[in-house]
Amino acid sequence: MIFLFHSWDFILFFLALLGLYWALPQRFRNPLLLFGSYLFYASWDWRFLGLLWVSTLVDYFCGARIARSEGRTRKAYLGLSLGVNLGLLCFFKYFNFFLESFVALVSGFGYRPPVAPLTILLPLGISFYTFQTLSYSIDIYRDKLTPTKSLLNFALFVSYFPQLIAGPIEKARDLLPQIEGPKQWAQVPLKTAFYLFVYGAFKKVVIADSMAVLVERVFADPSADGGQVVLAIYAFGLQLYCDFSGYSKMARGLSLMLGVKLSTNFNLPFFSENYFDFYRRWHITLCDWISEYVYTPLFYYLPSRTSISRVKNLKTRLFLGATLSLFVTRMLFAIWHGAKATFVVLGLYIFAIQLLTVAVRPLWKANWVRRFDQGPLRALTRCLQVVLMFQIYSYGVLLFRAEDLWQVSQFTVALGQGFSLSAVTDPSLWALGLLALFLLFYEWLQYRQGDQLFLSKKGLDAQLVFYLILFAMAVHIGARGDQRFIYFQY
Amino acid sequence: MYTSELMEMLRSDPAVRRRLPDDFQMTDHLLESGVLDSFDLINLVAELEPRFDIVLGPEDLTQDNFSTIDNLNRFLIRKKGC
Repeated sequence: MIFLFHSWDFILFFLALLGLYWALPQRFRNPLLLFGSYLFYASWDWRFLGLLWVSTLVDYFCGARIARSEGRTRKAYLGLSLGVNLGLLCFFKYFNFFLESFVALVSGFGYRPPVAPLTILLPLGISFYTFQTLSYSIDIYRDKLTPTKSLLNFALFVSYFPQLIAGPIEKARDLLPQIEGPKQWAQVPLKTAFYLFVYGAFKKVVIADSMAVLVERVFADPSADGGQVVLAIYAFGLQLYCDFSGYSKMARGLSLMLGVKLSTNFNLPFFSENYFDFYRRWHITLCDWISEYVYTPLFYYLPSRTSISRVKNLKTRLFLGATLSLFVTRMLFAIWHGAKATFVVLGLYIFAIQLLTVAVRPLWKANWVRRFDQGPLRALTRCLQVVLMFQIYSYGVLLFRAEDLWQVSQFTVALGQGFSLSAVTDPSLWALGLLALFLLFYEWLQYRQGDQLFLSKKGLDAQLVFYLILFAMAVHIGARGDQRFIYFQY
Repeated sequence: MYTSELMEMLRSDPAVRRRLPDDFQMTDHLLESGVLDSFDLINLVAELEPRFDIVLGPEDLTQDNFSTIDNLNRFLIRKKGC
């Protein structure tokens, strides 16, 4: 199994590939990367390579046809690309969810259909590469991209191993030109690449995996009290962030070593002032994909082409369109993660919070903005906004992590029943507290500098001190690395 | 022609003003760049009617018209010229 970036198997695989990649002449590099990507994917389960090939061939074919045709034929090829990709995604990811929901619905009318859920294994990374390949055919349809002539380069775009399994979800117009362009070892920013990989691995193996121990213990305990629940929720909030942003950083570092720059997927989300801001900082490539391909088209379509257009007041018309678009896209964002009732509620929760933010905004602007958002109280207001946003995020991650809605209600009740100090005095928590403080302090430094990579631009001595601190914490607290990446299941 | 007035409208909101980068260009996408969220854009678009004495119909509500300050400016020139 070589697909865990922090495993020795993967590191040996990558170093061998990297050496060969730069030693070979330019024309052999992409075939090598494609072979390496398929080998990487096959190390999990070779049978699902077929799905990757189907997606590759369908979009390569449809992309070429869309560019050459017009009118209804053009639409039909886009429809084929959407139908095949979303059809496969829906079958593997949502078939049982829809089947069980349907059975539950008709059972309510006294009829129980004789059907049972299928045993379906979710192909690794399907949600990521499906969205990525769709960007190719949609961009060609919208005349934002010309189709590539090379099937090999397109196949590499679909299966490029640093981001195949858990993103960042790259748009074809950003990644394909890099895959097709010339690359030189001398231009690789090695210091930045090394920093991204090492700090990403630290976030995953030390912070996220250490938090996981507490999280798993509490989430498996139905009698957990309010204090334990609140600590477990905070710990999972940090685990989820460090797990996924750690993975994204490692992916970017690996890719930089191959001469390809991937998009930033997280931009210090714990410094968001509200949920709109958070949405611009968390899983940026997915949120950006949904904004560009679903939200923005709906935002303009609904108030101009549907019955909403009959509403006379312009502001109300636009507001209705935006609210409906917001609802659809937040549900899509939540359900993209999985077919569970908890994700449906998570979508509703995010939608409700954002709508509340919009409702409060005029009041804030009319009455409080001058007093609290400008002048000496500005810093305090920002702190309070950040703290409030973290609480909102934390309750959201309870919905994300809970097994079912029953556990959500159980934990919510426990939160309301008060906190005992015994949870906080547990000595094993001090190490987690130290990790959390380190993370928040270091991210605050990045926020203040306005640059997540500021440290990689410092002198060698500053970097050495930083790596020694990471090493000391890993030795003292423990580098576990025994947890799979959370986002592998999506 | 209308760009400075449109920029003034953007800057009148303190939250938007803070998000405006120093190197903001008239051709930068308002939503995609994160300068505005869609509810900020609604306020901006709704303010166009009284401010520029125009009436916006369903056919005017397109991404091309409102995506950037430059496009908004061109749209207003067209609209006022009608």
